[in-house]
Amino acid sequence: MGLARFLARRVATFVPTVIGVLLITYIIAYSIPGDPVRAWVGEKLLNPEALERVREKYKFNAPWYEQFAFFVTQLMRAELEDPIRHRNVFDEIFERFPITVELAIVGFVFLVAIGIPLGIVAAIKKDSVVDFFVRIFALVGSSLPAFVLYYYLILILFVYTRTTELAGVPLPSVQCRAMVASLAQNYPYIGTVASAIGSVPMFGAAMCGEFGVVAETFRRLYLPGLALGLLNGGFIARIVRNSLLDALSSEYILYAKARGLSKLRIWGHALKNALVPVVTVLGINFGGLLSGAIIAERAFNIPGMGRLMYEAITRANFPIVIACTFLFAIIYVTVNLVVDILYAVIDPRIRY
Amino acid sequence: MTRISLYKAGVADIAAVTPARWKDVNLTPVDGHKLLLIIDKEKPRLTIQYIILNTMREPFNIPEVRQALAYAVPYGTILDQIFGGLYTSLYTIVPKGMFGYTEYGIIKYEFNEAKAREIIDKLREQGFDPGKYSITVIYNLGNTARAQIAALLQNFWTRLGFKVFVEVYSWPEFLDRVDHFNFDVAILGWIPDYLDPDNYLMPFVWGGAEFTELKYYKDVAPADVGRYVSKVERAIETEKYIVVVGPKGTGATYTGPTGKPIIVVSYVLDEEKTAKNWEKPVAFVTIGAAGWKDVPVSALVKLSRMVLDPEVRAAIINAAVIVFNNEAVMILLGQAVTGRNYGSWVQNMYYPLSAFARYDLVWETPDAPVRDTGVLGIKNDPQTMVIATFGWPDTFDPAKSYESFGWEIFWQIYSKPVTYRYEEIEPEPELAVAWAFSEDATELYFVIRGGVVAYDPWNDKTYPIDATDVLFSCWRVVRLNLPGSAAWMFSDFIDMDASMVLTEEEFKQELARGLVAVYRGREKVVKSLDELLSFFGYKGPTAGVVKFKLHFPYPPILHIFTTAIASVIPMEYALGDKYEVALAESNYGKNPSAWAKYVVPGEDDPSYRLLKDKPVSTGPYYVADYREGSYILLKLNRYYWNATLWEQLYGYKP
Repeated sequence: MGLARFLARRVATFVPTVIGVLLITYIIAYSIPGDPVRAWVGEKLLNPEALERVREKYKFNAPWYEQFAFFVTQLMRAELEDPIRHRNVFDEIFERFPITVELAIVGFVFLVAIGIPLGIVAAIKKDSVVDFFVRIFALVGSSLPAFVLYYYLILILFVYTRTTELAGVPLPSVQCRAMVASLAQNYPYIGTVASAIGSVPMFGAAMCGEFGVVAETFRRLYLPGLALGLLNGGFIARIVRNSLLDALSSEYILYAKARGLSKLRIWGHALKNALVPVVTVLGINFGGLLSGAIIAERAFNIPGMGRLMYEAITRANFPIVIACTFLFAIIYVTVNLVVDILYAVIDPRIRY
Repeated sequence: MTRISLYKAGVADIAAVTPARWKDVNLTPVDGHKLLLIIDKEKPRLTIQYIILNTMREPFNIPEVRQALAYAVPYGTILDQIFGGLYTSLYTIVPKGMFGYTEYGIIKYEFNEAKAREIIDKLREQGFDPGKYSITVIYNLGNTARAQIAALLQNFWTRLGFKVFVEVYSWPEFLDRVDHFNFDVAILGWIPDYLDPDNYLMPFVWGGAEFTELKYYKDVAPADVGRYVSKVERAIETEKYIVVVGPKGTGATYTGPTGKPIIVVSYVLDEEKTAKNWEKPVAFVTIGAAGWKDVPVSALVKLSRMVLDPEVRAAIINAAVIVFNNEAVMILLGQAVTGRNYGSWVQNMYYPLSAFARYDLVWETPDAPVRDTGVLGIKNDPQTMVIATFGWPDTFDPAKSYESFGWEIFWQIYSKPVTYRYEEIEPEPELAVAWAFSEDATELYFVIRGGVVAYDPWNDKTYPIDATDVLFSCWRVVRLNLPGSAAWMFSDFIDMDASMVLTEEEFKQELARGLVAVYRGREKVVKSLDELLSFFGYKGPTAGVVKFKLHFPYPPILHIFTTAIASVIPMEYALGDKYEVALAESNYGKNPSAWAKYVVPGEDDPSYRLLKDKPVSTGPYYVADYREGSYILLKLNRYYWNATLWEQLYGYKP
């Protein structure tokens, strides 16, 4: 089967997957006891008449499937509105998502920079002190409550040494943002892509030559990125280590050694083969980061998707929850697709 | 965590710190200064913390059980450990510092396990078995203070023989349960909307009873009580009066306490409306939060809203408060005290009693720490104040907002007709330079300050403000009737469609019949505009008069005009190109109902759509920029009507 057919088949599964995810999310949200409308309209005194108006608007008097259909239809028409702030849900999401993308990229860089080298070193120095420490690091990273790490990192790197900021998010100048936004109108295809990329503040700033903003962004985001890298890097290191050890013990490596290839070339062959499971895990991790790191965004005061989702959940804000889930589902299916394609790039034995 | 970090690093000058974390912050050194936590126990505030007992369920329908439970609460631990000393003892539903506060006839429920057991033992003798009852204490998820209180209650109430469980619910479900009495015991707090005991009596004490007639008779001889009521249902001794309540009629025999003047309150119950309220009760709205259906006390609560004589009003309120306390309808945990929490370089912060800090007079010492904020490249220097807080306003439209984050912003960016000077509790002129009531107190007149403009920072434009804008702003709140808004604070008391704008000439004609001006404890019948303005000591220009028509004389009406919903916005900004025609159709404010064509109820109204995102300013600051969930940037409003104040006090212009 060719890549084109594979892609077509995978894309065809997107729609039922996304609708299935939305349905499950909706049913869970719907099943939670309590009156969401009451939570939307505020915490003080009830205004039964106004409350009824909201119920009517969001189909709370209709059967659940009608309400679900209403939410999905509104979502697809890009007309679904946040019942608390009365903004289009996509306006809120597109305000937050670029910030999360920035954090995901910085976090991912740390994740890769910490996880892969450590894994390789641990495999090379198998059963040594270094390997022992990498395994301990992986264990601590997996079991340490995130907020404990965040707290100490903030204390050391913000309160004591002021190497970062904990408020605001650096943005390109107003002129730059306008220029980036205008790209989509001026150049229909490439401009739309460029505009979408430029909507991520640090990319937008780079496109305008505002490198000071890029530097500020890194200063702002390196701490949460480092924290995310530390928490998950150990796990990646273990995957790399085990996968690399598996590869090193395979027959083709034995053959390569017998042929007298240099160590470096042998490691290169082994690493390329060991990367298949690593790419899968990294892909899932990146998808997770793009879906908003809820605790990290709260701890480091980053107004991204994680915080939006958290706030929506605490106030039973169905429309935002559904819209975020929609986006997350698309991110995950897309990331999985990219990972599947990458398999073929990494491992020529894989064919579609 | 972030707020405290920003605060301790000197990036923030003020931070919202929960009591449990204050000890981590207090006296932290910052560049030769310190972060200060100043608790002034002598200055009570009006926020209260309490436990609701659902009196519609057993065993909370038995007053003695409620009393026993009230004695079995470790108040000291809660106040000192859980509330971190920020709350003080509270025994009455109307807290200290509020009109109607009394200690007379009040039972002080202190922690006394022996007494609690004694009460339960007495009940046992009558066949009461606490072991039969399972009590579930509920609180909202994430509130650690309430979690700790619930654990204490479980511990101490179990010792009385009850089976006690604790359940935690997400905020929506918790609210739903409290609203619909689907709970046994709930732990909550209350911030009043405006400074009047009515804002405690109606949500908590009122039993849902409605009346077709309520009257009071002062200085009635004991033998004459039977001339006004058919039965004495309650006879309550207050500090100065004995208050007797009963259904209207004749023939009652009074055998209660004597020795003080008697006020007789007679009522005629509206059975149909009362039954409707009780049929599907909604806490705080159709009945008090405890579901306590006491008709005579309800009569006192309802009457207290209409009585103009302050002495009689105080006695009636005291009577309701005493019964509520004696029967332990709710367990009152504590009343907030003044807690100030800011860097020692911050000067002139003040906290009006209606709960929100105001920054109009704030300044910082020249040696205040200088830090990068990370927001828009702004440095926090002595000319900048940074507040690290949590939450986000639901909206920037005062017609919708009914929550702390929004109201705190509105305190800074809008002017209302009246306000409080610093931390005083008497209304002072703001956009209204003088006011007066009709003789029966059903009409309130505001003389509006001249020369005021609103600033629209989004278009760098100003709009003149006059009486029409004041009426439109208030009328719009009622017309929009937005879900979750505080529109009731106007609609319950004011007939907006019957209210109108008067020219000064028209007002002079009304004045000629004599209006009552009340200000700073003084009262005077005035018959001319000059007389009225000089009564208030005002000499500047004016911009028309607004007449508000009240449904009934409501003593605290002025306090409502200090709140965020009375924020004045320019009608021209709200209506845009429809402004001129709307103004003309209303005959320049004579017939506000004509505006209904241009303002539609609900959140689809264009003026709401505009103001929820783009607020204007009639106050000391304006919203210059914001990014949701990240920052709100306020700047001094150079068009503020009182901007010269800064020059007078500090020698600078915005």
